[in-house]
Amino acid sequence: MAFRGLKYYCSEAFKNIWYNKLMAITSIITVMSCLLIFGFFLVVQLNLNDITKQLEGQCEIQAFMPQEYNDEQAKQVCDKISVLPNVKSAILETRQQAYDNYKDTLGTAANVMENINPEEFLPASCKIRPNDISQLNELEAQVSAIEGVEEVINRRDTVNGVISVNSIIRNGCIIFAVLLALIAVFIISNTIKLDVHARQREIHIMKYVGATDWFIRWPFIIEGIIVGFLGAVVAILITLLISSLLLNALDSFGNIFQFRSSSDTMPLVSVVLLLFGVVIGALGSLVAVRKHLQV
Amino acid sequence: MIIFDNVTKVYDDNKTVALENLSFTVEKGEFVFLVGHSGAGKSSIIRMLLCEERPTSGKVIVNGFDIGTLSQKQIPELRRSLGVVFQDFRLLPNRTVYDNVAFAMHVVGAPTKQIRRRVPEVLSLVDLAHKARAYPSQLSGGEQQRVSMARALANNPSILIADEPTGNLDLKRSDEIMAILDRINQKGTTVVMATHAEKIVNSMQKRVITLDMGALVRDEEKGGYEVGI
Ligand SMILES: Nc1ncnc2c1ncn2[C@@H]1O[C@H](COP(=O)(O)OP(=O)(O)O)[C@@H](O)[C@H]1O
Ligand SMILES: [Mg+2]
Repeated sequence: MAFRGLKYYCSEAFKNIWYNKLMAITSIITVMSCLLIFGFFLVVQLNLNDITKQLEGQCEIQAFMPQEYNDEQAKQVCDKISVLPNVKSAILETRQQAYDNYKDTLGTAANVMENINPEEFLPASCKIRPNDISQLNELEAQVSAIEGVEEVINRRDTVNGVISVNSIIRNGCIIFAVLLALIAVFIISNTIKLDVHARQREIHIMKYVGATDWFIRWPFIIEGIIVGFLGAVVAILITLLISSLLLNALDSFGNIFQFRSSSDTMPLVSVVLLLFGVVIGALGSLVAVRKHLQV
Repeated sequence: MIIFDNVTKVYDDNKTVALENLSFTVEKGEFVFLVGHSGAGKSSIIRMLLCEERPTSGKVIVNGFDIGTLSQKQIPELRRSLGVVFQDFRLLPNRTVYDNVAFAMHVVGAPTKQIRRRVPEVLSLVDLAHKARAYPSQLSGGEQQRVSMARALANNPSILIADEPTGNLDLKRSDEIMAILDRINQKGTTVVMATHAEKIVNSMQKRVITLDMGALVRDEEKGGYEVGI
């Protein structure tokens, strides 16, 4: 397709859109709605991914030693744990530290602890962070097998919960997006179909004077792409607006989870939405051209 | 230029035999009338020349293209070597006379410079240079048909095909059209025209191929219009 051809195709495409303004606007709004919902899910997904990672970061297993183990013995056990393959960090918590930490949580009621001997209150333990969260079970087994480890506890259930919620949302998002995309493709193809019918006469004449099939098809395909593109641009602007409003509102929760700023997510979201818009538009027009443009 | 060799055309949908064992050839530079009653098969021949229909059996060759086996991709190439004019003009109502003609050149990818030079040329060939900016609705039927002839000629076809071009016109307008067709033919373009306008055929004294129910019944040099009852 030579440049002169491209110019002609685009001008014809814009003429079509102008000629059929109302339908074009309807299609643009449809594409926009689809992409808007998709964009919203995408932003949520990106943040959930982050939160999962943050949770995974917090995920640790704790290996408790017998109550009678002193600091020296506990340190030796912790050292053994730290050289296991999937261990990111292994931090010793001595009996004294465990006692102090517990006391801290009591706040003003801490004085009830005064007569308790730290060496008899809580055992020493080792807090372990894994490199690979999915290998947690194996790590737990390896840690349990080490001599001097009496009990291993973990917070896997919470993390698994978040991970499965995350994947439910992700799958739902994909299904929803595909559904919406199909609707958008249908509506665009309908718009193009109307344009094809409106220009039936012209198409006929073009065929008689020897236009190639693709010469006739291109303006309609470009029309679909323009509609998809415009829908995406509007969707991006609205996503930008909503997500910055929402993030401001959520800022008060900022100390629990770190949300992504929109300047962080928007470049990716914009590219994805533009791509989707263009693909949806092109697909819609291809469907229409195949079905209604017997050239 | 054109070879019909034992051509039969049966339409699939109603099993009508539109053409039956038809054979004739048209040489370069000829002027040929196809005459016959309505339903005799004239338009079927025209559509076959354009590869809108294909022969059921037999062979049709147009400008070296074998219509029976021509691939979908080659059809535009065939049509670029032909110019075609219909009874109902088939102009684009929302484009000027100039643009209606330029359009045909755009479609085949002619350079803008060539379009600017060629369009006035063909418009003056049909005596419409002064109407370049008018819209089809502002023209008489005869003028509209001349625009459609200019469009057919824009890409310098070697054959001009006309299906009842005077069908919607009175005798005076028809004569203007015929004068232009004759002029075009004098310049070397082959002309094939389907018609049942008796007076026109008789006055032109050209080759006449007469059809009846899809069969060739007469083929005469400098013939007249005689289609029987
Ligand atoms: N597309 C078609 N499908 C079925 N039958 C057709 C078609 N076109 C023409 N016919 C039939 O073929 C015969 C010849 O028609 P046509 O070539 O149009 O004749 P003419 O142009 O001489 O009037 C007629 O009987 C007509 O009904
Ligand atoms: Mg006819």
